[in-house]
Amino acid sequence: MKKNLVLASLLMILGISLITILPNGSIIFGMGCGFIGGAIVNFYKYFDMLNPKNKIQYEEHLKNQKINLNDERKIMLREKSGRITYIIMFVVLIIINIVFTFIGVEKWIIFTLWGVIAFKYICGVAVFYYLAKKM
Amino acid sequence: MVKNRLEEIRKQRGIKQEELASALEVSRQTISSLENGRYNPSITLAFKIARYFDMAIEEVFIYEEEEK
Repeated sequence: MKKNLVLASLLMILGISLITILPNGSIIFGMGCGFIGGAIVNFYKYFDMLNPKNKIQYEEHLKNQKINLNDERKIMLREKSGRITYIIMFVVLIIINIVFTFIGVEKWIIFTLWGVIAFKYICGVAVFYYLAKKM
Repeated sequence: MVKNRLEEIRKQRGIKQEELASALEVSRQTISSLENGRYNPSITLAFKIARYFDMAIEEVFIYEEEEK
């Protein structure tokens, strides 16, 4: 519950700071408004949870949240979906890069994408060996 | 291949999936998946289930060699 209040306060400070420090930058202004919006939502959640009428619902919600977070089947599903997404992204990036090469996109973009692909692969191997050492 | 008698034992004792899930601190979907044989539990969860029913783990979970 306190997390919502801390998050809301931080978002509000950040949002107001962005708007007041850089009022002319449209992207920054938009970001600031977004942060303030997030802060309002979190403030609402915090005060809604404080209401004694919502106490039972809130406790039930917390219990379900904890179960969903620690449920071993859901953990396995999250890991599996991450693995599948990793493979899909690998294939998508390679296809995009090949297409970019053929349509003559600027070289720095192509090299950056190859760099990302190489980084993904190296990162995957490094994390694998790190985990293999730990287990 | 691991089969289980979870559904049979649970129904014998008149326990709802939600109640079992709550006692084991897992989601109801996990209990459903276990009963349908779509998911094999970790050894920890298997022990927790067996302890909950006060049975030996082999009485709830049956390991069968797969034919080659």
